[in-house]
Amino acid sequence: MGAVKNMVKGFIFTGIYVLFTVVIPLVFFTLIFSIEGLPLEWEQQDKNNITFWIVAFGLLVSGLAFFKYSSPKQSIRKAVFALVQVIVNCLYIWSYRFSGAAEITFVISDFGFFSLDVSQMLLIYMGIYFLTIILRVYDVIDFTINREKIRENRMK
Amino acid sequence: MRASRVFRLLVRIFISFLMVTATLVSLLGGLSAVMILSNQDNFGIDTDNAEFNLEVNNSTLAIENVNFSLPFNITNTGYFDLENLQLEIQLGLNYSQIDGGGPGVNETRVVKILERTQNFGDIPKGLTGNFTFFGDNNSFLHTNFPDPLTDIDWTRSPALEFYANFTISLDYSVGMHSISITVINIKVSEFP
Repeated sequence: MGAVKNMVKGFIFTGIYVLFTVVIPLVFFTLIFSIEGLPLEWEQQDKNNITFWIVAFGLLVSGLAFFKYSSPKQSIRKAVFALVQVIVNCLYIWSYRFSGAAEITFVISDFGFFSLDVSQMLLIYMGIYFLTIILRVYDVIDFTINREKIRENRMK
Repeated sequence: MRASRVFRLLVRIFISFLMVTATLVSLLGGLSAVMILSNQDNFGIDTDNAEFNLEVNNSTLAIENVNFSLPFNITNTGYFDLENLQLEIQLGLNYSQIDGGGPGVNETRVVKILERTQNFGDIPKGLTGNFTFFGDNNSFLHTNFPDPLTDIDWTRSPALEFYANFTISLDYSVGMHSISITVINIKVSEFP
């Protein structure tokens, strides 16, 4: 029963991650690209770049979420997948910066242009994720050292 | 619960607190940016009161003194202070070159005569900052000025036209958002 429950949990969290890392960002950027009367300085190639990296890293993060959440509680497998997932999450956030999505520039005809840069915000999130990496490494070590104790508790 | 798990829980709570705080600040910052930018009155570049003083020697037509001032104001209607407010101005001089393109053929030219960035500090939330940008004689790129005797066609009216590009840039939400607004090709003065 536990295995089925874990699988269901894995699928549910994969869905949540797909929603937050792929669907919502894609809808957001599609809406921004379709604002009328406020043309973006981005070109089609920029849009393709942004979409590609969001989908690529978003699916990777979501796939790892399945393995993480379907693994038994306090298992080494879970800790390893959680560590890999948080590292890929950092790359996912960084992809917003190198794909150009962190700086949005609107061209206002006969006036000039307006730009919004959120690179600093992404760096702050990456800093927080770095702390999470430390926590995940701690988990891997903890679950490995206390392997027997965890197994005994699970059997009880 | 094992002691290691209690320690982990404490670190987890700390990281969650950081994450929630960063998310709240970025959401409120985004909302504030929309509130500030959606009302054009919040950004006032007063080009009507811009002053461009050009002192030309009547006999040699040499430029003796030049300065430029531009009043502007920004109202911070958001939730956080606006930080590191900067105004960058590029001033271009438009004139007709007497012999441009060959004798007797006049050609309109634009040269950059001023490029200056001035920092105006912060604007606390809920307040309006009134500032004046000032470019003195030393700020101007005198080497770029055309020779008044041999280059400028003084028969054209006006002989000199001054156009400006303005860029207002600022940081918001503890530096998490950087905003810049550029206004291009605004006529600020003419001479004579």
